[in-house]
Amino acid sequence: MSTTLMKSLQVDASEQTVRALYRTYGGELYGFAVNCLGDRGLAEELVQDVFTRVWRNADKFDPERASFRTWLYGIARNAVIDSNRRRSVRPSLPAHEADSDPEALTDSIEQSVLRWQVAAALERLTPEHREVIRLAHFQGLTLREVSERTGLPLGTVKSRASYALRGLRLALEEMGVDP
Amino acid sequence: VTANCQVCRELIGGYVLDALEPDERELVRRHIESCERCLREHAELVTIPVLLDAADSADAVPLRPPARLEEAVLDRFARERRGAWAPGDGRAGAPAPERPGPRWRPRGRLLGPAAAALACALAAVAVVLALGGGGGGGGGGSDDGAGGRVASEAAAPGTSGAPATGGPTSGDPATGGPTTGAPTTGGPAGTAIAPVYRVAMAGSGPAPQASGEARLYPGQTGTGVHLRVSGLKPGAYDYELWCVRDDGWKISAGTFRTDTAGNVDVRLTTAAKPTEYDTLAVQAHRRAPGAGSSGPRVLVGRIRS
Repeated sequence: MSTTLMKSLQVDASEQTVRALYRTYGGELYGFAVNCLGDRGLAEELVQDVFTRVWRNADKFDPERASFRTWLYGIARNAVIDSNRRRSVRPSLPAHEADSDPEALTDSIEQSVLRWQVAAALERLTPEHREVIRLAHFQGLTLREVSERTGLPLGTVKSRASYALRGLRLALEEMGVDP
Repeated sequence: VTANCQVCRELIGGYVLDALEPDERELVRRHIESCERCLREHAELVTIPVLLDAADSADAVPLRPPARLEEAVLDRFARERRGAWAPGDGRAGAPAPERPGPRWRPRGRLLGPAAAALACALAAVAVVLALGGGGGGGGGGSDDGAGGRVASEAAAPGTSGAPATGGPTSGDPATGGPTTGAPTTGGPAGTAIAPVYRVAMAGSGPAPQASGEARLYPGQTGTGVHLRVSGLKPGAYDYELWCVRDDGWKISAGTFRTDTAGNVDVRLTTAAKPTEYDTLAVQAHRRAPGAGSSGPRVLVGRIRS
């Protein structure tokens, strides 16, 4: 879908195309920016900068070389470096984790984006399914213990655990994550 | 699909989460060794727990951007699209091709019926000010100016409070476009008030010697800004005027250059409403390849005290 949108942007940029791109990637990009910069105002500025660079450089996007997400976060990575560099010359605005090491920043980007995507996928689960994930994965209970803790029949807990994982996989796939 | 497949499908979640009892775990393990279908499902789910570790908890809330960010992104796109950018430029400067129909319209709260009605009234009054009150000297009205604080004028049509030198001379104060069907008299008594904001701007950062004043004219399609500044560094820099809120949110009011002496007298337009922003700031952009899109703030003034 993103490749199609980018082709639209290359051929005839329209508000609808930019809006669609923003609605697909704006949330995770903002989450990533807040995580990298530690400042919501700067993160908003960065998101604007990134989308500006996206449409200004739309003709440089080649889907055969990289996915749109890879290309987008390449731009975002440079924008973060620029932002940190600007703050480093403005002592009044201390850079948050001003990471000048490009490799470390790449790791940071991947972790940050993944964290946002997984949180967004979890958010899309039903509260019941999320509860099973919380107890079984994050608290390390067995399904039997989950059943005892919640008072739910064990069979229900087992089914929910399976449905929850399938739901997570689907949500992640829809966000472009290849689980 | 065998009975064991049905059991496996029920247990596969617990198996992947390592939350089964030992006998159940063994049952699933043996089954997926011999069932391609269940093995495939296992393969699809087995990485999920690893990914879950990226989240801090099952209740981690993904940080959502404020709704205004979408509007800001689209506003910036629209502004560039309207006249300063064409796809493939990789920079501002080339005019976009003409397209039929409106390519830009005011957004967000500016679109509300009440806001639109108010904006119409203000625009009409501003035109009256421009046409009927343009003879006043020096801008008139209170001139606070001290310490960069705002001076918000409330000027009645035809009074000395009209913005003589600072106000637009014709047309919509926001766009500078032609006047069409503009009333020549004000509306009902009490409504013909055009708020004109004066913002004294002081040099900051690398340009402490700079100073200036901005006058803001809220209008139907945005806010007209008349900016006069002296003491900026000419030549190697482009400048951008920003409307900034105290929470860090900002929106551009456009870019400009100085004359050879570092002075500027320019009229810009922004979609921002003065009442929704706290500060005006001028940012310097070094005019060089790869210099990036930002630079230090060189002038700052408070819209709101």
